[in-house]
Amino acid sequence: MSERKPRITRVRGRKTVERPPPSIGEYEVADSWPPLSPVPQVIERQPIHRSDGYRARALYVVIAIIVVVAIWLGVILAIHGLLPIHLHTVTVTPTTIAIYPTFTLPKATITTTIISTKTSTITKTVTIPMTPSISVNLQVANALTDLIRKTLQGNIENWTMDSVKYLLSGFLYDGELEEFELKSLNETLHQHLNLTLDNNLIALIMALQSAYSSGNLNEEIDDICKLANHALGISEKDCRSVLSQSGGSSRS
Amino acid sequence: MVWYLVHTYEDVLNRLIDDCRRMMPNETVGYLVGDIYQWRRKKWLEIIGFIPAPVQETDRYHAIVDKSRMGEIVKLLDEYYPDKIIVGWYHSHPGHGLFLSDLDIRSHQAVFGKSPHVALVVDPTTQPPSYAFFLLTGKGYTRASYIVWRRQHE
Repeated sequence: MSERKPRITRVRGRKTVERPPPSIGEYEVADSWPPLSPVPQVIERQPIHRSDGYRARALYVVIAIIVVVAIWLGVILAIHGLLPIHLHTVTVTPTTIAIYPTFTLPKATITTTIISTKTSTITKTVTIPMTPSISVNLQVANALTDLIRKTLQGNIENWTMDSVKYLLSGFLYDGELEEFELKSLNETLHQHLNLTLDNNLIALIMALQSAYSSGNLNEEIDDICKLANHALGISEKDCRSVLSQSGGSSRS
Repeated sequence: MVWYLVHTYEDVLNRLIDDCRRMMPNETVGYLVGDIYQWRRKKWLEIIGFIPAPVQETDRYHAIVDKSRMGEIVKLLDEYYPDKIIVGWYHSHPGHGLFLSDLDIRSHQAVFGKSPHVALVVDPTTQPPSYAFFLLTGKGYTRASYIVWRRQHE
């Protein structure tokens, strides 16, 4: 068996060896991401041996089917031609669709809907621009953890809140929450705080992100506190008080 | 077939996870050793070992590398992995999940700014232990594709 000689090429001043990566023939796969697709099964095509008599019988059956179908079609068309035409009226019922932010967040903007808790009707729709920023992620993480702490009445260990803060600031670094980040955040919230990362909580995070990145926390504080009330159950008054200390000011 | 950027071996990864477990509940940090190759104009990275970094201080959320002892890393690299290079770094997130924090990203940019250096994050508290490789992108980071090979016993 001939051995493959590695070829040396120069890439950016460093010698990079040209070498094929290991393959399934050499090793077994213990784990991979993304997962390896299953090896396609090779099905050998078997030759079909049929006699001339069989072919003649098959042809006869096909012709017979075509003739029968043609006769039936003729009969149906003739009946329809004799009957009067009935017009059907189609009534379209207007439907109201409520759109909630989903786990697949768009990169540039997210539209969230604020829902009144009393009447369950849509009262306002806001578009939140998502601008990545290095410092904003920390402000959002601080604000959210402060809101959670207030909701849970301080009955919580500091390191637990630090864990959530640490996680969220890392995830929001690029201004987006990817699927695996949401999953990880949800697990941490659930494990440490018995909270579920539902659409309301995601909307709250995104609204805080928008407010801090645009510097409009004061203008948006009322809307954010409505979301916080919906997501965490914190009173709007407490929320305003918390956010005022986190860089915003209350209008009420 | 998917092109995997990171290729490593089960025994190497198991030893690295054991090291992360030993340091629990604190974080641990270290360097990934191997080489960067190319094949058909595509780069791929092989990790054949790791060197735990001497830490200045460590707790649940931080592990600060003692930069005054970086010479020890170079010495170990020469002694145990001659002709190999550091191809990235690893650290553990005991119980925090798999991601790169703001500080992690800044550390990676400062030390391993050159693509395709990778950051391996291990959560040794899960069963089985979870891990992910990350790569920096223009505005953040993304998961790097990896494959872990099991060496056949001779």
